[in-house]
Amino acid sequence: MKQQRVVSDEELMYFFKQGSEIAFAEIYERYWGKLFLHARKLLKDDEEARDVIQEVFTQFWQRAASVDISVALSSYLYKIVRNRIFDHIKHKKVVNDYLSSLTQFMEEGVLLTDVDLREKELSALIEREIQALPPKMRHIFELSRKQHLSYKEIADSLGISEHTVKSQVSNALRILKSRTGVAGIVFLFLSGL
Amino acid sequence: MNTRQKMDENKFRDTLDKYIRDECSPEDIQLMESWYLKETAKESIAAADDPALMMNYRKSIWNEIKNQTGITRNLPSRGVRRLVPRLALAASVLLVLSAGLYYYSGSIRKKQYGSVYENDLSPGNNKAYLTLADGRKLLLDTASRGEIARESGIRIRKTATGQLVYQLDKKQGHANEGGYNTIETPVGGQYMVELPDGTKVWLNASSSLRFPVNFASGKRIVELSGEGYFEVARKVQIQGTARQPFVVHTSKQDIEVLGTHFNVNAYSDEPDTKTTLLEGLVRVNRINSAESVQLKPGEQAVLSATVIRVGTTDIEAETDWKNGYFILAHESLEGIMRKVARWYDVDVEYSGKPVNTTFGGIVARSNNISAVLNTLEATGSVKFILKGRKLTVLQQ
Repeated sequence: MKQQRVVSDEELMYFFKQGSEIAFAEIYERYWGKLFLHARKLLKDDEEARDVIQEVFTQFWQRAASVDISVALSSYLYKIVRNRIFDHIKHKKVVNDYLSSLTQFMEEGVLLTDVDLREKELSALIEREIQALPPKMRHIFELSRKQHLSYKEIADSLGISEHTVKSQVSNALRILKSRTGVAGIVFLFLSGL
Repeated sequence: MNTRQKMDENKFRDTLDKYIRDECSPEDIQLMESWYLKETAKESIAAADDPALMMNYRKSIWNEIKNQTGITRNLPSRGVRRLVPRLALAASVLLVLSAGLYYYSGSIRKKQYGSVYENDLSPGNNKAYLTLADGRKLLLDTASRGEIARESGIRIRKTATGQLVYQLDKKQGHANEGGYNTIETPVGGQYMVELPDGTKVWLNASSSLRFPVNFASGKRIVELSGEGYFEVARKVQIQGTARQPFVVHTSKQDIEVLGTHFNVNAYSDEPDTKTTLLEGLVRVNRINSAESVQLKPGEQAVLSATVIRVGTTDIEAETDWKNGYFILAHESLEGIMRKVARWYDVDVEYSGKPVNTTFGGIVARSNNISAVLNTLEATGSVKFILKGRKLTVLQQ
């Protein structure tokens, strides 16, 4: 019998933090599309959006060791992408459109003072990007959701034994569960324990 | 800058710069992030409409990341990854075919791809029926609370958290030899009861427990069908003398314990009866037979028609239901669907060739059925059609 599993974001984060390239590649597969569409919308330029995505993932990889696994993967990425986009806007030769939009916002807009609410809203908006695509394009992006990583692959990429990987996942699971509580929607996959 | 002050280009660039360097005032952070949300919420510019271009971006951005970080891993080539090399050729033909089909009939194709949910179903909840010794039947749900009955010198009370507690009636001071009560959970129900001796029992969906209102001398015997998690009290509170063994009687086995935590899965539609020990010591005896095994913590007895096997097991997966999860560790599709059927009250039918695969994963039981099914679907092996309470499993 073969074993099929969907690897959760939480699990990916865990291995990513250990330095697993395979987990990193899977994170890229899951998120590059959404983030690209998002960046493209704000920067209105394919090349700049490509640069942003490349910077986001490069930075994420370089800071892997300091990542806190109890924070959702998506919120990490969404924050980095916002930062990078601001940086690109800052360096644009012409910022008139942004400036007038901001000025107008200062006159009429509603400030969201609550940080959590802003994060939530940002997630919702970014996640909507793919949903808004025409079916053909959506299909292209959604293909990437079906990955079947095995513990062996992850173990090989980390240079540790499969057994170590399994017990580490089970520990991580316990920690996450105690933090998330029973009511939270935990989406961890732990085949083969 | 504050929100009333006018914004010019220099100030704008300066604020962006401070934001990036994490030196912005809280007010400016609020402003910039709120404005950013508004920009994000705007209609998209002409959506990316060239799949080939996107696939190209996906790859070229990854190559740049590789250059920057020094990692070596390539992205998997789409679609053929799960297939053994021998099938690779056939697979690429298939891939081309399905891609072609996809382009010719986009929306129809989409329907064929995904699961179809005509409706969603909410999860089960705390709900049970209590049959008293005199034959009265009470519905235990979230509404009722407080004392619900008094029998044989025992008060039956429902707590604010929804559990049922049997307590010795202080006024009477002693309990009579009483009859039996039965607590029964429907499909989509679960319930926790504290018996007169202090033993706690969690009942999973579609299960029942029959027990004496008052444990008199001798063995404490209860009857279980379905699945229950027991925390047996070591001290005997009622009669108070020597330790009394606690016996869980199911259709195929007896479990005898003194005081311990264990889970019994004795659903009649499951092939085996499983007893999993968390703490203490238990003995499992086959009914009408001398066959018997003893378990240590972490071990599980699997009683089949022919043999009782003892092995270690994943405790978390065996007691998942009590903790509010479906935890799947190498489980067959049929086994998973039986759990789903009990919790979401659906009739399951199968269509297509059975999948020779097991599944692993965790989903919270507080989810609607669609979340659980989506998780299974994401493995690429199954799809579902849900119409009312009829769930068809399409195997590929």
